[in-house]
This record gives sequence, C-alpha cells and structure tokens, in this order.
Amino acid sequence: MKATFLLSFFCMFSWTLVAQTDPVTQVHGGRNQSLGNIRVFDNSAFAHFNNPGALASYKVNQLAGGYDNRFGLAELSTINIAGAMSFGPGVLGFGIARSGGKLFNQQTLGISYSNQLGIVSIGGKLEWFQTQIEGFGTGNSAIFSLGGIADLSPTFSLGATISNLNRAKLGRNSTQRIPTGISLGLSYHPSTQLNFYAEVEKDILINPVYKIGLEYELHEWIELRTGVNSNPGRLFFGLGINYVKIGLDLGYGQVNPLGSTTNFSLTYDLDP
Amino acid sequence: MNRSSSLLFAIGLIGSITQLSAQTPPRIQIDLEQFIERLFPIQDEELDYESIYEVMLQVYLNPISINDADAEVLQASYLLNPTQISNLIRYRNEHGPFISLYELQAVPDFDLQTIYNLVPFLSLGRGDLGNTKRFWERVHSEEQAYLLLRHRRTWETRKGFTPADTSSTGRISSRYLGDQNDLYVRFRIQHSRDFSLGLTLDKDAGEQFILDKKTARYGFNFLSFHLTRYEVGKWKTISLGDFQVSFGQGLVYGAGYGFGKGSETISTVRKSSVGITPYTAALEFGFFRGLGATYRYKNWNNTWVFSYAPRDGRVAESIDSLESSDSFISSFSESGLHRTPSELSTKNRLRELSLGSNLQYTSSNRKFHIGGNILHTKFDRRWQRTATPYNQFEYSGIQNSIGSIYSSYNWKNFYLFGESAISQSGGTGTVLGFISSLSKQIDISFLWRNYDRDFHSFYGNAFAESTRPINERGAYLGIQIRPNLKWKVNSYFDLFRFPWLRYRAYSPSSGQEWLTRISYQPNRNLLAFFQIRNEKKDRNLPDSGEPGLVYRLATMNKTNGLISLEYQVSKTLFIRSRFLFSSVEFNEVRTNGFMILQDAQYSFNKFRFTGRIALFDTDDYENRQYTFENNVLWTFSLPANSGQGMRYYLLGQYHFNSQLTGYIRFSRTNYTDRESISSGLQEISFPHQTETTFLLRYILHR
Repeated sequence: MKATFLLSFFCMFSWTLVAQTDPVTQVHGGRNQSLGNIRVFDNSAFAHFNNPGALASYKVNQLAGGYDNRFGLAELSTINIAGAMSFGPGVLGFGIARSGGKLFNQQTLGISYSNQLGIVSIGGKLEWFQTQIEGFGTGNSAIFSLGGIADLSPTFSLGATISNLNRAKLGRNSTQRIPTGISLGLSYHPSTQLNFYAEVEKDILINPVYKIGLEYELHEWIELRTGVNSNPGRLFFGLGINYVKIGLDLGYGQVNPLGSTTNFSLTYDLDP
Repeated sequence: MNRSSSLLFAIGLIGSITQLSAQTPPRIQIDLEQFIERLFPIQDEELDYESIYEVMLQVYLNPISINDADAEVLQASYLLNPTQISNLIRYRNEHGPFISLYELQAVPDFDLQTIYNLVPFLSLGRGDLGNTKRFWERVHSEEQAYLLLRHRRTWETRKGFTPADTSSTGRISSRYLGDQNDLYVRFRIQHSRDFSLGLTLDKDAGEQFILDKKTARYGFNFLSFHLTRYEVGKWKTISLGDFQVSFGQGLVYGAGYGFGKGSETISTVRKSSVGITPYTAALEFGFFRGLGATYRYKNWNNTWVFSYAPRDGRVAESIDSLESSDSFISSFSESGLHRTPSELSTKNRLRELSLGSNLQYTSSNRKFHIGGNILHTKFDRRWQRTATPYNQFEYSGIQNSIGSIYSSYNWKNFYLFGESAISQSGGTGTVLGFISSLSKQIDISFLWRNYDRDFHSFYGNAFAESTRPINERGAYLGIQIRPNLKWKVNSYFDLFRFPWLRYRAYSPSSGQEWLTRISYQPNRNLLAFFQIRNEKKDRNLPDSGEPGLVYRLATMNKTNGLISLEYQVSKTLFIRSRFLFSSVEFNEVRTNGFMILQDAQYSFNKFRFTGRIALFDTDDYENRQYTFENNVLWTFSLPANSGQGMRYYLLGQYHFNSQLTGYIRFSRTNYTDRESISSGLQEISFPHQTETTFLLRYILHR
C-alpha cells in the first residue's frame, strides 16, 4: 500500500511538476545548470546530453561526471558520466545517466557524433532510454536528437537543439510519449572574460521557458556563473574552478516555493 | 550631428561651465524631471514617491565636488558604474586633483555620454568657497537664494466643501474646515558644501489657515525649517531643524533615499552613505527634528542625531478598567492631512524622541568604508496596533532600539556592499550585494536580503519588495547590456518570499518579478524604448461566503508594458509619444488596461509650453496606469489613471527676467464611465476634474 502511494507520488512528480528531472529532458553538468539550464551552448563533454551539435563547435576532448540533487530528495537526483573525443573533423561523444531512486528510476545510454562545416557545427545523438518502476515493469525506447551551432561573428553565435525528434514512447506498451523539446539559443561573448547566453525552450506540453545565463572569469582559474529561468521562476548561482586539466563546477538553484537544488560535476581534459 | 562635432560640442559645454565656475558655479538648466524618471522605481503601489523625488532633487541640486568625492558620494549620483568610479579615484590619486572638467576625457572608460550626463552635477571642489567673507555676509550675498510660491486648486467642489447635512440620527455630518486652496511656500538659500538655509510652509486643500496654539497651527498647517552648515572646522555637517540621515544600506537610517527595483537595473540597487541632508519636503513624517552633526577626525566620521518631533496618531483608551485609565496610540497618521475635526484630533498627539549615532571609517584610498549605526526611539505614549493575525509580529511598545554594522568595498570592477541590523525585539535584517561592470558591455547587480517578521526599523528604507523592510527574504539579479552605443538592454529578476502573513495574504507566500527594457538611441535627439515587466504575487481570494473556510491564496499575475518614443525635432520643439498597457490575471479572471499619450514641448523667446493629451481605458483599478507628468518647477506629478476617459494638461513657463520665472498649469480629466469621481468627502459629483497650479520663483540676487 505504502509502495503504491509512493509510486503514484513519484509518477506525478516526475511527469507533471518537475518535468525536467529525467535524464533526457534535464540539463546536465554543473556549469550549464548554474547558467540557468542553458542547453544549446556547452563547452564540456556534457554537451553530449545537452546539445550534441556543440561538441564539434567547442572541439571537446574531455571526460566528465556529475551529480545533481533536487530539493534534498534522493529520489530526485541524477548521476551522469560523459566523454568526448576528437576524430579528424568531428567529435565522438558518449554518455550514461541515471535519475530517480529505487522505486522509480530512468536511465539513458547513448552515443553522439558532431561535425564542423564552415561556421556551422551540427551533431546527432542516438540513445537507449529505460524507465523502471518497481513492481510495475520496465519500458525501453530509442531516442534520436539533433543540434547545431552557427558562429555568426567572433562575439555572436546562434544555436538550436531538438531532443527526442522521433517522439518516442516510454515503452512498447505505453501510450505516454517522452517529452520532445526544442531550444533556441544565443551566445554573446563581449570579452575574453565574459559569456552571456539567452535561450528559449519549448516542450510540447509546457509553456515556453526563457533562460538567461552569465559566466564571468574572475581569475584564470575561477569562474562565477549565474542564471535565471522563467516558468517557474528560478535563480541559479555557480562556481567553476579550473586547475590545469581538472575542472570542478558547483551549482545552486532556488525555486519558490519548492526549495533549492544543488549539483556538482568534475571534468578532466584529454589531450587532443 | 556626427561624432566629431558632438565631441566639440561637449568640450564647448564643459568649457563654458569651467569658465564660469571660476567664480560661483551656476546650475545649468537640465531636465531634472526626465532624469529622475529614468531612475524611478516601477510605479506599482500607493507609495510615497514625492519624498523620493524630493531627496533626488536635493542630490542633484548640490553639485558633487569631483576632487573630494569618495566612492560613496560618486555612487550616490547613480551616473557611474563601479569601473568608472574606480578609474576616477585612481586617476585622481595618480595625477592629483582635477584642474578642469576637460580632464574627465582622460579618465579611462569615460565615454562622451557619461561625461554629458555627469557634468551638470559636478564642481571642481572646495576651492571656490570664498571663505574670506564672514558667514552671514556669504548668506546675504549668495546667488542661490530663491523664494517659491505655489497655489493649487481643484475647481470642482468636493463633497467636503459643501454645506453639512444632518443624518437620520440627527448627527451633523463632517465637513472640511478649510478652503479649497492648496498653498505652498518655500524659501531657500544654499551654497554647495558651505551652508543651506530653508523654510517650507504648506497648507493642503481643506485645511484651515488659522492661528491656533492648541493644535500648533500658525497660519500654515505644516512648517519645516532647517539651517545646515558644512565644513565648519572639523565639523563636516551641523544641521539644526528638520533633517534626514542615510547610512549604510538603509536598515537603520534610510532617509527616504533609494529606489530599488526600476528600469535602471544596476546602480539603483545599492544605497550610499550620504549622511545628514536637510529635509525640505512638505510630507509631514519620516524626518528628524532637532540637531544632527557629523564630526570628522582623520579617516573617521562620527554623527550624532538628536530629535524631538511631534507625530500624528489616533489615540485610543485602554478597555481594562482595573488599571488606571491608560491611553495609547492605535495608529499613526502619515498623510499629514488635517482637514476635518477628526483628522485634526490626531495632530501632534504623540512626541517622539530619537537619539542616534553613527561611526564610519573610510580607508585612505577612499575605496573601503565600514561603519556602525545605533538609533533609540522613545514615544511618550504606548503604540499598540489593532491586533490582527498578520500584524502580530509588528512593533508595539513605547521604545525601540536598533543597531547595525555595514561596509562597502570597491574592489577592482566590483562594488561589494552589505549591512546587518538587529532591533530590540531580536529580529534581524540583512542586505548583501554587489554591482559590477564585467566588461564594457555588460554590468551586473546582485542583492540578497532577509528581514525577519519581527525586525522593526522606523527610519529604515532598505531594498525590499514590500514598502518596509520586514517579513521578507529574496534575491535580486540585474543586468545591463550595451552591445554598442545605440542599443541598451536592462533586465532584472527578483525572487522573494514572505515567511509570515501579510496584508491581503493570510498565509506565508512567495512571488517573483522580472523586467526588461530595450532602448535604442541612434543619436542625442531620438530615444525609443520598449519595456515589459511581470509580477506574480500571492493574494487572498475574495471571501467565498462559505462559512468555516479560511482565506485561500491565489497568484496574481500582473504584466505592464510601455513603448515610448522621444524626439527633439529642433531646438525649439520636442515630442514624446507613449503607449502603456497592462493585464492582470487573478482568480481565473483577466482584465486589461490601456493608455496612449502624446506630449509636445515648444519653446520660444522667454516662453516654454508643454502639453499632453492622453486617453485611458482600464477594466479596473488593478490596471491603473501611472504616468509621469510635467508640472511646475520641482513639483512632482505621477497620477494613477483608471477607468475610461481623457486627460490633458497645458503647462506654460515664462521667464520675466533673470530673477523672476512664472509657471502656470491647467489640467483636466474627463471620465466617460462615471457620473462622479472619488468617494467620501473627496467625492466630486461631476464626471470631470479640473486642476490649476500656479508657481512663481523669485531669485533674490542675480
């Protein structure tokens, strides 16, 4: 009885209230989460999850791992690992992520490839997505996503990403579809120390979310970040520390009246 | 105008100012109204905007001494960003004092626009005081001495001015005691950084012009006086009469100074320790009356405040008959209106004694400040609010003490600031934040505040969503982006929470607000902007009438937009077009508001005419549209328009000679959706309201 109650509670939570705590629709990586869930522009290996098209644009060669927690609930946390490596003109990426607790959890495993063509980089991702509900069953699906970035000038870039292009269902026997979302973003890079991002994301089922992110390099090895989301209103702050090849990114977010989110991730740069 | 000729013009402008400032700096005429409007908060609630305007006027009418000003004072102008302040101080430290305002062009990061904006508010420093003359001689010969006379009147008769009638119980209904004229007199002599002497007299419509010792009315209903001297030996300021005090982030000493959230999203977030300033407004509360002084010793400033002021309040008798009859104050009256016998009975019913002090240290490089405030207030009667659940943590008692420490630091391109205070109740209040220019293109501001539900500050005026710093926690983030000289984007986002109940929200609640303004200014003559702001805040649902149900909250979603175009057609003609709209969604009902207005200003010879025609149509009062209006000199006008109708005004200015200037204004609102305006004694039984304002300014010596 208790389990059933919890189950229905979790289902409600993950699909209606906080639609973004599953490994497909949420933004990964301490850096991008503290930039206000900016998805399109990502210079880390987490771009595999966020926007596969960014991998070639930023020529990512990195291994990364992270942990993300919402409102202090272990059942609303995510663990992820991602990697990216250059191959000639392109970048190959992979990623594994798992969200949820014992009773309800979702995991994804995927590979991506991105290529630079002139000022445009584009990439695609294929992933296998599993949903597991204890005592109820397991659903599997394959998801295809696309993304790209166009560098219009040294200071301006535009980008877009579409996740779950094929509108996959949760499982073979389920009628419920995994959310399909489109994000359009703009990056403004006025000085070497400063990055500004603006983005709009539309999930088929929910109202558009507007996002703004700002990253400031206080020192060679310290980065300060902040971001804002609309719908619901959220405020984010983050700190990035880089030491030679190792990077540590910490993030904190505030959502009224639900509470706070915390996350951190580690990155390790590979030799190209 | 191309770039090089505008540069020449700027140099010419600066040149003419410096030339004249060799003797006494004359104030060049700038459009203060337009300037302050830019800084003003978003008009939302029935706030006391007039006092903010008045303080702003004081700041801008007193030039900043550029060779002497520290980071605090420079920041208080709201004209410079932290990098520019930092650069200016560094330039001064490295190259010595500025010899001429020309030199501003050599300071790194000072662009032409900044210099344009800044120059009217600058002076070269203490050198021009002419201290050879004795004090009273200087007062006597001061050029900045003027007398203002203002008359205002609404020409439709309000119900309060009609003959009294008798109700069915035989009681004679209340009426206003005085006449319909609103009179205001101000006399002021001042010299920047030397002295200020002023007298303000005010009689509102409906108040009597009477000599009555019992109610302390001597002709005018309100009288305010000050004599302030600056730089007397080691005394930085000595002020006698009415004054205001501002230190730190305004948790203890707020002085009605500070804007908070507005379309200027960066500089207005932070407050400056301006210290003692003369009080000149005609609002009858929120100031100290007595003696205030600041003593300077090396890098230390010590300020003392002694005030014994009458306050208005309604007196109630305690019901407890076993105790000796005990009267207390149930509510303060801040309107300052004494029109009816009932209103008059609240006048000066309470005496308030305030004793306070401040100690502030400024580092030798002028970039670091640290200080402490303490203020003790004692009433001669107990203050006890009528008890309701939402105000049970509000102040009650006969005396209150509050203390705080604050600091600010200009570190590289960051300006860090903070203040933390504790009141007698044990409740605390804290403000922490920074403003920074991250690059030439992007500025950012951040502020976090936390005010306990039992944090009591009578003179506090800190950054808050509510009108006072109590029962609130929130974080604010502001940004300004200037990708090039023509475009500017300002934006802020504020997330807040009220841990205890509030008026009209009988549960702990939360909310958020954001604003974006995009401005386009291709040249000095044309300015176009678009602004949108959204606020989501919880409020009680109307009583459903079902018994046993407690109040439930729902979110009120308010959106306000503004599109504006301003164009200086020629030297003589200026036009402005504006379009305002709003929508409010509450309890699944959506209402809208709309207003459109056209302004024109034409000057020729000694005349200047300004006019406006506006149409408004709003579904309800929640959609009221606030618009700035041009008014006679230094008079504030920000009416809220709601309902359906038309409003217009015409303002004329005539420059009789170098000493005398006259202003006359006629304004009228015609409503199409009602037969009478307002309610109670203020009711006008016509669908229109007509007001005239007449003002004369006489400059004593020129």
